[in-house]
Amino acid sequence: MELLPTRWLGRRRFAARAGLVTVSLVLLCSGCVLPARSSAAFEGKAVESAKTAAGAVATARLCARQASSGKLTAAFASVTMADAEKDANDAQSSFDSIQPPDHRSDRLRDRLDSILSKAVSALARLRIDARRGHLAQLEHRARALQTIAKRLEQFQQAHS
Amino acid sequence: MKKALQFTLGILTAIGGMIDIGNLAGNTEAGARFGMGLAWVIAVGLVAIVLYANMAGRVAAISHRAAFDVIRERLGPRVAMVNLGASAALTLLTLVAEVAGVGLVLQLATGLNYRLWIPIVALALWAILWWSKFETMERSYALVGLTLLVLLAAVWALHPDSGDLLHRSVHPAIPHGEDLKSYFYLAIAQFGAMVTPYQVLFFSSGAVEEGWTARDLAVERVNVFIGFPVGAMLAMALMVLGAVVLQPRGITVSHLSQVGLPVTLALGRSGLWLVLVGMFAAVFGAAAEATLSTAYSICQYFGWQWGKFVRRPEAPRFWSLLVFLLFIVTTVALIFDPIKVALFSIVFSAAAVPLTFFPILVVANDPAYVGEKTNGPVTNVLAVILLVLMVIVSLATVPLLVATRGNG
Repeated sequence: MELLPTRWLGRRRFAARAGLVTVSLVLLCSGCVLPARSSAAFEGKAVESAKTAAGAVATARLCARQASSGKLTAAFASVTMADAEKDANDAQSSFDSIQPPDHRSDRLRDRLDSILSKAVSALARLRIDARRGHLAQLEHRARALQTIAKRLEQFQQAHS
Repeated sequence: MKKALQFTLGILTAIGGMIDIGNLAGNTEAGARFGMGLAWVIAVGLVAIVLYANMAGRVAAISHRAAFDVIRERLGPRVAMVNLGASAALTLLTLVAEVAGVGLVLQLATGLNYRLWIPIVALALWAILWWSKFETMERSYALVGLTLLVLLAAVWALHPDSGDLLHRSVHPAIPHGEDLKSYFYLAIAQFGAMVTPYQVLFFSSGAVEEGWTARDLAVERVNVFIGFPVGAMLAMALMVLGAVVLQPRGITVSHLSQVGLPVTLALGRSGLWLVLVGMFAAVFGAAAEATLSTAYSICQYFGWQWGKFVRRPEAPRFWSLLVFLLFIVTTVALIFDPIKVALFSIVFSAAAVPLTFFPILVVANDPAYVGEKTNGPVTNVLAVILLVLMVIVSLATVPLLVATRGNG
């Protein structure tokens, strides 16, 4: 005896497939990290992460310069710094969650991870100062980001 | 004075539609990544929205009936239901982004987390939709939103090389580190941000709210031909600021704070306050526009009494729907990242646009609704070309979304 008519099974299969496609689309689009299958793909993801972090560092430097010259309010500066820190942090955690496929990728991972950690830490420092309203100090503090920005740029150039 | 304020419906529609949270992030992002390489999309989008808003406004002024009312009658309930489903879902998504977007603007002004602002914003939105007159609401947001002209002042103050900007606009190129997929993804996002269905639905319903008749066709044209170009000019200014200030520094836009930085660089703290006020008015106006637009469409489809000009006991479904929509939207806005929701909504807007615009084209050619004022041959040729473009864009949207993983 058929428990469910064939057309219902067909519909259920269709619904299941549609659900699977939808879930895959949502996962893909929500920024879920996909595994890197080769060292070239891993290198590509490393460059992407370095680029995101470099953007966050550049945002913080631009913000720090303006805040120190009185062009920004403390609230705006602190939100901007927090956003920059979040971007760099997200770039680092996304990159760290990718499984490196070989030893060469392990070395690449260590190199970038060290720069990203310094970036996140420097950005956190700036965010703390901005929240405390120490806007005049921000430009001086942001000098630490100059070296980090240069290293991120060199990393991108070397691996793209 | 009253005459001078007659263009505010167009300004509100255009500022709310073209400078909402999606545009603020999307246009600046396009400039930051591709310089002026996507300026042509703003131009094409402007032609499309002017053409179709003009048709929708004309239909409303002559037939005294708004878009969905006519669409349902002309195309039948089934086709209109598909249309309604797509545009209402999309507008709700946009509304989530707008409500959270107002929270983000307030966060930039006060430093308090935007999620704390969301319920307050929703409450304020409800109060204004509930108590203020349509005209008062429209004029307040349109006029305060004009403080966004500070974007043009910022461009002026930065003294960009206009020859170079023009050259980059007419010779688009893919910068190093970017690819064609991302270019077209952002092109679609730009187009979707310019040509949102809710703008046209709101404009047409607003015309009925304001009681336009065939005699008001001149006012309707002034609204379309002033309002939308103003919106497009501001969208272009955002792109220029992204191209001039953010692109050379390698900054890509993922937060609203980054949109304000080029303005403050050019104009300092006074520029910051002006841009924050302008953003607030534009995004809040867009939220009001999207809430009303969704309620209008649903009520018009089902033949329920609708409109802010109707007393609450006479249109209970319309007024209850406004409250229900705001409740749902507030809940969703507290959960998701507003900038991501905004970018998704403008991309899907590009996909849903033909469903809303095709029926308008049909109705604008039907003498039963517009009498002798049917489209001329030039308008029809342009409208069909743009509709074909919209269909191509809508077919390409999902594959590009997957290929770029929604990050452009």
